Amino acid sequence: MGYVEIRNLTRKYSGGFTLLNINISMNKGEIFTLMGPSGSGKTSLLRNICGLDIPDTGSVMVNGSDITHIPVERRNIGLIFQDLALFPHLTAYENIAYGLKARRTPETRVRESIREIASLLNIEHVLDRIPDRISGGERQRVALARSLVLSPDLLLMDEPLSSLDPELRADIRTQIKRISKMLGLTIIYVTHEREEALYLGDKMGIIFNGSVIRIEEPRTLFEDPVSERVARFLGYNIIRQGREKIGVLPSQVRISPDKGTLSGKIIASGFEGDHYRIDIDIGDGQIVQVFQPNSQVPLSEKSGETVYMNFERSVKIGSP
Amino acid sequence: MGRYSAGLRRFLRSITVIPFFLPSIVVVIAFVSLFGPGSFLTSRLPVLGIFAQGLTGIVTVNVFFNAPLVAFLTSLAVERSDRSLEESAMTLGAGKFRVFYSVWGRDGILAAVSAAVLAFLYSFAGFAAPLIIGGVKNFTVEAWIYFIVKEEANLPLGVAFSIIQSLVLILPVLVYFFLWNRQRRVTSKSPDEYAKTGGRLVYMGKIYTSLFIVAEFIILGSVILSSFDLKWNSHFTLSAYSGLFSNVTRNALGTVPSLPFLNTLFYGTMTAVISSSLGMLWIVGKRRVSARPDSIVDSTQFIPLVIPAIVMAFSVSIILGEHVSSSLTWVLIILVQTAVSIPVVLRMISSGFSRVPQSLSEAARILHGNAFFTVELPLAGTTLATALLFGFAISMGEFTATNFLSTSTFMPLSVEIYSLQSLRLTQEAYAAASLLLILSLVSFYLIQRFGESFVGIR
Repeated sequence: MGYVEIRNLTRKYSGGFTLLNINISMNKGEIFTLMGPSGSGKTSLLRNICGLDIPDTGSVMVNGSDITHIPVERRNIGLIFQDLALFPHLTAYENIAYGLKARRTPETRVRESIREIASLLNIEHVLDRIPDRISGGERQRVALARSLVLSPDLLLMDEPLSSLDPELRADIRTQIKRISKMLGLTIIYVTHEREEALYLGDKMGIIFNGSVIRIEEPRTLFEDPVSERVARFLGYNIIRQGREKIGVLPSQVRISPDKGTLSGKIIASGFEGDHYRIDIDIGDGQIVQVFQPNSQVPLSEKSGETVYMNFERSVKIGSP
Repeated sequence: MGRYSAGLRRFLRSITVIPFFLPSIVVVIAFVSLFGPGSFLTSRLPVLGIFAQGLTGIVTVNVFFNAPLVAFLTSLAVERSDRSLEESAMTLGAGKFRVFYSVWGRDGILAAVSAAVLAFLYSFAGFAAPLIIGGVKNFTVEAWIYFIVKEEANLPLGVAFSIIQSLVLILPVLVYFFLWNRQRRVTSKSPDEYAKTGGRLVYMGKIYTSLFIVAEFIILGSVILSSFDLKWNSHFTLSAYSGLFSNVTRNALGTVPSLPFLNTLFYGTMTAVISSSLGMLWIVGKRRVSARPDSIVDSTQFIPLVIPAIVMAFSVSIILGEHVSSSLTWVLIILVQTAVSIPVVLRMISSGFSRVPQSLSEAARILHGNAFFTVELPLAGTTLATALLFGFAISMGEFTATNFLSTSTFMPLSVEIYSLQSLRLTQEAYAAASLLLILSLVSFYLIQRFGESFVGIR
């Protein structure tokens, strides 16, 4: 049995949305990344795990204990909200101390714990400031510190980096991974960013319409998405060939002016930094996206030009 | 006031809205002191008497009372109109008139119409003006019900009138909510950032506003002046105040002279505390179960708008009167005043608490803390203070139901004013009205000081 076991969790919401028969198993110290489109049930699942919502059926087990019906404040589960939910009227120090004080921890112990966690996350210099007066990245770390200082059995993170710019996001992402491994922290991390899910996850799940449809190691999932919607979500082109469908990553398509397995007309192209993106109409309403290395650009940049494509790698796609 | 930047814009708007905030009895008495029989003005220009008697008097008082509300809500809507929509329209080639009717003018007109519906509701259920200056011929339904039940003891007819009045009120209330819900969300930026400068318009607006404020000061100042000098002939005296707190009042009204003043403070405090507590229970309860806003259940808070105060008063006296001894009349008064204040107080508290993100309350719960005391109350505390003050002010101003229920022992200042006026103790009535006016102005100042915007229903 895993350290965290979510078994047959089902919860119907009044608006008609349902989390249906969710099963997840995690070992201690693992990061489980849950990826899905907006409205697929990612946040709802976290709310059911931490106790803000109670499942209709099924159970949530942590470290061998069934916590399904334990009140939220007694679960020892941390949750970092998408908006971070830092208390705006309290300083960073008071925010971090909030949970410890609520548990009536002695003041000396509170100070010591905050000093340790602030040092680990490099936020000593902002402890006496209110959240409005600190930067986005520092706020992120304060929110992390507020949860970590309580040594939670499980930490839930609900798209906590979505409001940061890409550079800062990459930096915080690294810190989360480093700290989780250092502390042996078990994390469920929700995101709709592919790179984030792949980088952070020891395991990765895909959720659609309230159902977790697949759980694998990130690389396995990425290289063999199996179903069309998972493949699309991971960035694959889906190409119909007769009655069959194949998935091809944009970076694994090579363009040739005169020969290839598939032909089409360029409808648009543009520079995206480390590659050119070219959109090719292959007929029958299908558009193939191609990421072409910058060095090959002169080959194809005119709209309307017919080009040929070869695939370095493709995967067979099954049911939707 | 909503669109153009002018010096003291906010201050002027606050001053303008004062009449709406005052107890209706004070406004009526102020008109009587200025335009009533034998006043300084009417003794020189008798035609001005039309402003304090009959139909014209009622309409004048209602206009004076409600025009600030319409102006205030309209200017607020214009001020908060989404500037990005306006700028989008301009970049799409819309001219000034198109921008007006498709963006900020639309918001302003919608607010003006919904405020006018409110003005209709308040005037329809008007009580003090018809009772004091209207005469039986000009009674509103509300005044009729009071007369039929209190004076004629004809309960069945009173009930019939009440049902008719409630049914008639449903339609404008529904129209009001329809219009309210059609109002667009406001810009998040500070309105002052967007205020425009406009030469002649601002100048004209200033003159218009100043005229209203001057009229306002003359009318309200008249009651204070009259309390010291009844005929305005420079014979200043404190006799009205000494009479108010002496045997004159004791003999005429059969009450301890200071009791109405203390009753007013007591009812105000109790109403404020109870209605705010009920409001908080409701809102916090909703937050805990993550109830969706604007549900049908929410609309129950506005039921007091459809049930006139006089109906509440005699319903309470019928239902509870037999079981509650007369020494507990104060309980009935507080009960009805609480019901009357609930729509506004609840709305205030709701708007304050809704600004505290749900995630903060949930974070507090997850961290084992008390979300209400450590997060919601500190963050929505200003709103709560404002709601308390609104509850207090509404209690002070409530006259209809309080007049119906109160006895000599339990009368507040508003009823004392009416009783003194009825007994022709005019200068003492003016003195009591001046005290209530000052109490109301202090509340108004405190509400402005705490800074929550006025929400438009009371």
